[in-house]
Amino acid sequence: MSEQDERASQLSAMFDGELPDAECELVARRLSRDPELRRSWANYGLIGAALRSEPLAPSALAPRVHAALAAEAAAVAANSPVSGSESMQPATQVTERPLHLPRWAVPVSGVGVAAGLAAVAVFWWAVPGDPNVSTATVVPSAQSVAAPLIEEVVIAPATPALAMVASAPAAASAVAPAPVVGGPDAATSGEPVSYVTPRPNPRSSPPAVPLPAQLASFVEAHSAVSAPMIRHSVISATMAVSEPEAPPVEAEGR
Amino acid sequence: MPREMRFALQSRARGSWRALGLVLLAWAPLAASADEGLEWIERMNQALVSRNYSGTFLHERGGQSESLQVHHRVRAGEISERLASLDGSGREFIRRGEDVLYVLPDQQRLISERRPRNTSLLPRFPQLDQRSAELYVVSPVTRTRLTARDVRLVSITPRDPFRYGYRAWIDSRTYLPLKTELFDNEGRVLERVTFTSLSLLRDLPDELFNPAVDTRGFQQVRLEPPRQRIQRVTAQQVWNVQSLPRGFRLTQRGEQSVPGSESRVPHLVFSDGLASVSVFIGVDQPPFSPGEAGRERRMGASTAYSAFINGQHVVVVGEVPVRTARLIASQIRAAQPAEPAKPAEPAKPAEPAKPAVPAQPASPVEP
Repeated sequence: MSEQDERASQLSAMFDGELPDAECELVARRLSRDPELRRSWANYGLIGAALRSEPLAPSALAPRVHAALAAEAAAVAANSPVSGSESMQPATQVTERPLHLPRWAVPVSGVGVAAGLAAVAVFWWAVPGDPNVSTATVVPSAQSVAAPLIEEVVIAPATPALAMVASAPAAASAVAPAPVVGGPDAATSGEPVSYVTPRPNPRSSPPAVPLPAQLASFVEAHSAVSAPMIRHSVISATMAVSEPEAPPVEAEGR
Repeated sequence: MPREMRFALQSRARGSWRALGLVLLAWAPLAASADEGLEWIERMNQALVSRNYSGTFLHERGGQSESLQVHHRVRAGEISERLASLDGSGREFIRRGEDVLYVLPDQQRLISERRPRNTSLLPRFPQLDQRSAELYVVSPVTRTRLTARDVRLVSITPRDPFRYGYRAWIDSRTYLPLKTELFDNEGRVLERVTFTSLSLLRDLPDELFNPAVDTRGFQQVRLEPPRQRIQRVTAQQVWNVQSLPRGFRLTQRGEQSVPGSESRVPHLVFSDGLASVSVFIGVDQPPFSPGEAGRERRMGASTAYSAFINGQHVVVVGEVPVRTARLIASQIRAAQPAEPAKPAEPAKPAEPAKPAVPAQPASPVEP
């Protein structure tokens, strides 16, 4: 157990660029031997961390991984709906950056991790602090739209189809002329069906006391001065306000 | 013999020095860990207000949960923000600079309000300092993973029942909180915000800050700010806060327009560095029927308390236990109303526990 933990932390350290080169090579070699470890790598989605951890050559790993992915995809080609050429696009855009592939990455990208990686949604990625440097990767099952807006995706949406990456710029350009109708990001917000989130179970717990609508203004005014950490929850509390208990005072302002 | 005795004494003395050294060694990292935790919280707070991001989060409170989408943008110092409920009601909260909009599709209503940011109430968030470490136990920051991200877990536990505890899983690179929890002093989680998707963006288009639904045909309710600063609440009234729960002090004051009150009402903000409490004084129409004993509402970690105190309706809102809200409210006193000629700014008392507070900011004094 502890050995596993150690490996995991080694992996993590490696991807965060905190492991000495020599050790990286060791881990990488072990990675190429040990299917278990490989699986955990894929499972953890550490590819993202791998990309981030190479600030000097952020694009280094991506083409490799991508090549591996593409090879894998070619193998599965016939029945897979993954559009290879489309997902290829971002990678080709970044390969113009010089490749400084760290030594440890060679064995890593060489091994057949692609299959595991296919499940991992990967995005355009930039290194914090250098807005001009972007690395490319792919969202395997969704069309990757080059998104100049995106600086960094912290967490991928559960459903790639709803990825901000894909929808935000497209929606912005599509809806720009029509200001109100439909809303710009209806594509992302209008389909709660696709979100995998726990549904509230009102029976499992006592219902919260609804906040009267009149209180919303107070709560909102307070939210402006409350700690940013809890601001989201403060505001969203006002969104859950119930029907006003008394005739709505807001109407006076009409 | 004396030599041996001296040696024994010496060694004992050395032993106790060593023990003290050990104690110091043990203590030092603890102090450092508190600092580190507070640093991470500060970074997170900064990131939340200064960065551009879009995300979806699950907000759990009081046994209920709701998914919301958030867009946040800072452009030329102006904050735009949109929070949309992805469940049932489809309600939205939109702020574009000074304009605040509530979109309530379930009620076919659109409530808009212009909320000029009072200079005295510009985002000046709770400040964490060593004082906070006296009120809370800041656990050592632990490094872990959450949704495949490298995160720092910061836990802050209150030392007394006047405040809540916080846990935040802060992304190590972006400093955005991937998950936050508020818990009471018995360890029960009152609120939890968990991001299911989160993107840091270089910029966000304006369109993202429009309502998602067609609001034509909605009942338009506009909350007009009071036209003039003609104060019914006698101008330059001074409020005294007799004594506050430990660690709380007045951090901001200003005035707010609130529904049901023709004029703006004084808005005082008290904070212990993490939690903040807003006090609105002299509200014409309290949000819920006033009673002698006061009324309270709890919504997860948010407490709202309304009471009729010393001839004024006082509304208290904050992320604090009810007892704290009640205690603060009960301490609001109208001090000697200042002479009309007297300037608004009284001598600021040195003691933070008993600030004398002018009802309004000093700047615009009407003749």
